[in-house]
Amino acid sequence: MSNFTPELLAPAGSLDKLIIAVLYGANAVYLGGQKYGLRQAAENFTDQELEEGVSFAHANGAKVFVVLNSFFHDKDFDSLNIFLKKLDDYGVDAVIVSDPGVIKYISENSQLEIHLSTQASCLNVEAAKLWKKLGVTRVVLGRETSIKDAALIKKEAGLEVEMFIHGSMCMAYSGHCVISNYTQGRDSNRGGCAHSCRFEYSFDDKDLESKKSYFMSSKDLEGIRLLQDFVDFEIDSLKVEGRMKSHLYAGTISKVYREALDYYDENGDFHSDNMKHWESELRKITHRAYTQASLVEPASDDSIYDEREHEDSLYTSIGTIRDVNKDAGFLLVEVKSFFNTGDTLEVLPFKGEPFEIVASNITSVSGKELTKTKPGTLVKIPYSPFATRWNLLRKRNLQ
Amino acid sequence: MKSVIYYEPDLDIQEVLKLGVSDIILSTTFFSRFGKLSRKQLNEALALLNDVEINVIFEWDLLLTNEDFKRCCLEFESLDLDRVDFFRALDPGVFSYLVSRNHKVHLLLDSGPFHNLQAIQSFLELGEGLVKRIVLSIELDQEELSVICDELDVEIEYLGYGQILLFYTPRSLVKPLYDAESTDNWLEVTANSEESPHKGFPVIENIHGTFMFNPKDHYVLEHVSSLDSLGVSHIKLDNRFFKNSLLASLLCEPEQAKNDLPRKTIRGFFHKNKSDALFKKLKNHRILRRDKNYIGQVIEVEKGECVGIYLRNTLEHAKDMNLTLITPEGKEKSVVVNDVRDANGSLFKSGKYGDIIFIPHVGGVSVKTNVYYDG
Ligand code: SF4
Repeated sequence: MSNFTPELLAPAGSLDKLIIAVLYGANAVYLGGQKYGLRQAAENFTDQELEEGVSFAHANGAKVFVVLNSFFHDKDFDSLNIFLKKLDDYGVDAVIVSDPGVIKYISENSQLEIHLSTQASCLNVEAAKLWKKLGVTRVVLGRETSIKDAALIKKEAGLEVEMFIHGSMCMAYSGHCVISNYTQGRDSNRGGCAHSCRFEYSFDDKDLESKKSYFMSSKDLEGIRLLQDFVDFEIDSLKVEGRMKSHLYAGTISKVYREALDYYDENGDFHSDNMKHWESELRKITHRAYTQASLVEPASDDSIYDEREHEDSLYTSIGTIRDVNKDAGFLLVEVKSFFNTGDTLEVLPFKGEPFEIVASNITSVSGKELTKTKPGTLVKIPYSPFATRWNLLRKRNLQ
Repeated sequence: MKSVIYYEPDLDIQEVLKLGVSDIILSTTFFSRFGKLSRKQLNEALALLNDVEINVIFEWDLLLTNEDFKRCCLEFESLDLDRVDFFRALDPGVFSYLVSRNHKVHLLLDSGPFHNLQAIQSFLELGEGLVKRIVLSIELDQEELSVICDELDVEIEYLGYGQILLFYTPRSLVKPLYDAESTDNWLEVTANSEESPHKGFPVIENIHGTFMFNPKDHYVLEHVSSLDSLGVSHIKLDNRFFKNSLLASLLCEPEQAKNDLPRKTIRGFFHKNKSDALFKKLKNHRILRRDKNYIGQVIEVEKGECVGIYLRNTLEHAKDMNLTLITPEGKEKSVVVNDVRDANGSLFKSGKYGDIIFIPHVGGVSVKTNVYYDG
């Protein structure tokens, strides 16, 4: 048994998601500020939120990586220095960067540790060595890299390696899709991707049969069954995609992979009946069909998600417990999706098995009886001794 | 302005020389994404070009996983490439490999994501004096081209006429549709997006993956003199995608040649690249918080009863507060609040991030309203 356990790196699309990911077990989170990232439509962190996020994460033993993974045009460097200074001051643990110009600028103007973003599509030992010369200490490898190749890159280039283990994927080599630039006038490499790969395309060439297909759409990555390989090959960090995804996603993913890695720490393997349980938990969050993509061998056509864009989910995210009051006997719930009086809800604790509670009585904050809830409101439901603040609630969908 | 074209077996080299072409690219099936030259044809080309006064360029424009990279290196080392003057690379690993073997390199940035001067300078430093030319991105506009050309001391190449590559994956995405009916290593189809009006995307699938191109090709040949004055030294014509018989008119009468082209053309971003201009519209800036004096966001409104505020900052004195509330529609409300309570209805004195406080109902305020403390 190796003593090595990889870092679990979760997405934090907002400060709430950061808190949730850390409380559910992520060792590190990555997030974006208001500029320089690839999620222009996302909420992203203001400077103050970033500072708060770093202090929360550090107080709970987790690291914070900030993405600056947009590919810059020359004018985009304006005010980068000010932002870097803030990141330094807040104690950010590393920045994730794609562009060699930005890497050069950061190494010349700050002490920040630099991780190479997957957007740079680093796929081989020679490329990794080049990025190392530029000052990078970790590479987030291109999604086309196998775990075996990642280990070789780590050994021969002498760098930390990070790989995606879960989440949505680009079908293109990262950084090498500019469909949105030409069809929407939005630079995908500066955060404007319009997800044209998820559209249906028709083919009606004269020599070939007419076809319709979502041929560029990729299934979602799921690497839980490969955890033993990630450990054996000493992959330093396992990254989960999904800054734009829900609180329930951030919590479930962090919890499931944390439990699996903790099981390994205690038992030295993943040969557990729990594997089925972990997989079934991952099926409870919104996802497209899963694939292991290129983690073991080059991805083949079975990684094409040839369906209209929709995400399957066995459970609905109900909301977050925002306050627990034992004396007054209620849980205060921030409602994301409606539920009715009498519904059975599941609480996802930070550790251990999910458990059921019944919303036998729902009231508004001022105490009015309700028969059903509305998304975007706060309601009170009966107290449960095992539920705590920031626990997530979900409800099984009727099949 | 010097011109660069691709070698094709049916090309009349003497005619090409007469047209003033200075460089010819060898694009092979094994090393180039859209190359069609076999190893035998490569050797024939090298022999043919042996005594010709023209720069010979070997193209290696693949992105490569480690396994493929090793395979490619073995093949590369088995070739006799003495006649080749320059080697062009897209993958930073290939770039590094070529530099380590002391080859003179052209760095391909035309279809990749690197667009700024500092990025290019980083590669030049890593290139140890062996980078002789930069093939610049077609996403750079004139102004950016001018800045970059001014600063660099190497040759600059820019695409004059050719297809615009939109999407590059190593995966086979088209053949599976036809149940592998085709045994060809080269499949060409046209894709039409359900997203109107985007139709007619040429798609190629070959041993290196699947590639989708823009329906309209990049054409700036009528601006050659501007490019020249900006500092571009070489202009490329990608004749792998049009008939060689068009070369003469493209080089000599670019305005007129435009009428004979197989597909419509665009100047792309040549005049102005505004592909970040729409970003501001992707977000509702009114619901974005300002950090100064920020307390939190309205999370609950119970008409006639209360407004719940999710504290996203420390609140030291929750008493007699002057608050400004800015709704998602941009409306501003100023209120004085004397009564602040927790979810249990108890008086609330001070709080920290994550707490929820309740103030008396304020008309016209909705969820996602931002709340600021004015003292
Ligand atoms: S369109 Fe699809 S493949 Fe292209 S950048 Fe966007 S998500 Fe990636």
